Amino acid sequence: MKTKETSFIFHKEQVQKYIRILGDSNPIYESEESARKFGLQTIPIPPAMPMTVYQSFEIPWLMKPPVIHRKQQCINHQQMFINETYTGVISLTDVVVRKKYTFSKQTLLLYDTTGNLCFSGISHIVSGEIL
Amino acid sequence: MKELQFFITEQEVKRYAELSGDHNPIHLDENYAKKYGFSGKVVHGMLTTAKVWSVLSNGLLTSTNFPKEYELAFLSPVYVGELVTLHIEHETNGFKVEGMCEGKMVVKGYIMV
Repeated sequence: MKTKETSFIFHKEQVQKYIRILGDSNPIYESEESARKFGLQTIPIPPAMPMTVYQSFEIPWLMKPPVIHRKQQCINHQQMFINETYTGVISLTDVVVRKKYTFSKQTLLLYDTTGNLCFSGISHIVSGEIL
Repeated sequence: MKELQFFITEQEVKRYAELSGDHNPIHLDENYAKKYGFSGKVVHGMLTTAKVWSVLSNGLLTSTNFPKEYELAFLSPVYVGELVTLHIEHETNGFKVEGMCEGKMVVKGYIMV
């Protein structure tokens, strides 16, 4: 099962809000100028932040509670930046029911506008029934 | 072997829920979390993951070191406000990470830089 392809842009304000939650003091997130001083084209997207785009997708399956995150793997294939458009899809695979629990894998793939894969986020979840 | 510590506050969990749209009550409602056998509100797995990277990056790396790949298994819940001690071992391509909380291993994985 898969979601529809969805596009989005990370904005500077979102990145800075995210970084403040983490208490991260890395200056590359402070401003475009600061990022450029470190040789970057602009403010990069923090490594785990792409996973926050789940909220942008209409997910055609429903996991009954409790929904528990068991394991997370992320691959940053290419550096991602603010103000660029990315397109992604989430797939649900490897669904196994054991007693009252359902084990599954959700994979988020994000591509840039030229179709290059930028990010893979593989989440292993245990939940109640999946509808 | 290096040791780094962090904890995640209730306010940080609320702000992360708002930013990520993940309002699973297991993270936000103590009674709900207890109904499912947890002893308190559980920190989002992705917030724990982000914090592990942030702590490691700020403590041991330069500003432009980014992870190529990382994997964390959430072995036990990380509860709001609990101190997590990361044991970090430098390996050829990155770091092996184990997070302990009150004597129990809560996260385990690797980060390739």
